[in-house]
Amino acid sequence: MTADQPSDEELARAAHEGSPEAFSVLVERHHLKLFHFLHQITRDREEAEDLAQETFVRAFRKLGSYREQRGRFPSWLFTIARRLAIKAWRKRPPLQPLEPSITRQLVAGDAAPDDARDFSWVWQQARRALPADSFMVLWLFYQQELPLEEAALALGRSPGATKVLLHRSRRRLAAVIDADHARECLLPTRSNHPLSIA
Amino acid sequence: MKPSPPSLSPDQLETLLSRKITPARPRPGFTGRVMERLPTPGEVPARPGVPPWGFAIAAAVVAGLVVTALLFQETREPGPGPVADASTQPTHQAVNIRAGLGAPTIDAGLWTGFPIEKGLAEESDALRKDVGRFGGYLVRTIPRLPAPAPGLGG
Repeated sequence: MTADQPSDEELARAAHEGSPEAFSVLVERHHLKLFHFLHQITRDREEAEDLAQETFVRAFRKLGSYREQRGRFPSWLFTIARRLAIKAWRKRPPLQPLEPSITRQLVAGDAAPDDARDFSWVWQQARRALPADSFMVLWLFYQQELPLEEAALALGRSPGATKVLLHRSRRRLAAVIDADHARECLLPTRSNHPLSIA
Repeated sequence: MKPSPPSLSPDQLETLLSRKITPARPRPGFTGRVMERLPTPGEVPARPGVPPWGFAIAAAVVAGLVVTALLFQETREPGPGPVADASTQPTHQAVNIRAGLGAPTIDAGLWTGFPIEKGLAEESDALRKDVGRFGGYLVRTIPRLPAPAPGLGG
């Protein structure tokens, strides 16, 4: 953080000492990532928003128990969100992994021709094929780019156990992904190919 | 029969997972809606910790335990162990294995103490070695303290 931008920890302290403005900065700073995560879990915008709001309300109530030395604020926030997300996950009936033909249709329908490719089908597949914590560890590590230790904190596991979970989740996901289609998606698009003409 | 395609390599899978997907966004005004739901300052519980009365309760409990232990020491009757004949106690005195209950209780040839379970003594080779039976009680023998020299008082 720069000098004119207080850190999350400073804002959390100020919010706990009675500054709602400080907390609103925290909400503004982190709500998009949180909502994105919860939307992936629920696949429902209304529900995701409700869970995201509830996460922040709970965080506000628990600000006194937040300890800076035990992890960064976002990891702590995801710890709270995870508990709510697990409940939402269990509420939904189990889903079958998507057939390759359907993932291809998803890509064809979602991606603009010259735009960056949409990889959301990968996460839809992960959402369907993996248990909750497996999905979450992949999401936190690859999409939120949390370091392993921070992801471990958010998942309530040790770093070692999280590393094993990450490895197993990758292997499990690889088994249900249409490899040919994935390779096609990884080919350079016209717009991002190094030889393309702008 | 069409051969199944080779599965993704770990590197390809990593690349696939690392590609950022278009983020979903909440409706505008999210922060404001959160702030409206926040509890008022009076509703927020204070920072967790030990309240002042917690220390008072802890101190009272500790004091109670100390008093109980002292009373127990004073009122404890010698155990039902037999009184040894001084002439049959040439080299050793016995000590209650349950030393945790108090200081060794042997004095002037009196074997006192509580019966202990056999299993306790058998848990340790070292214990078993110097544990003996006396009048139905398991006791451990230790070298007897030398008697005070005559004429030195006491």
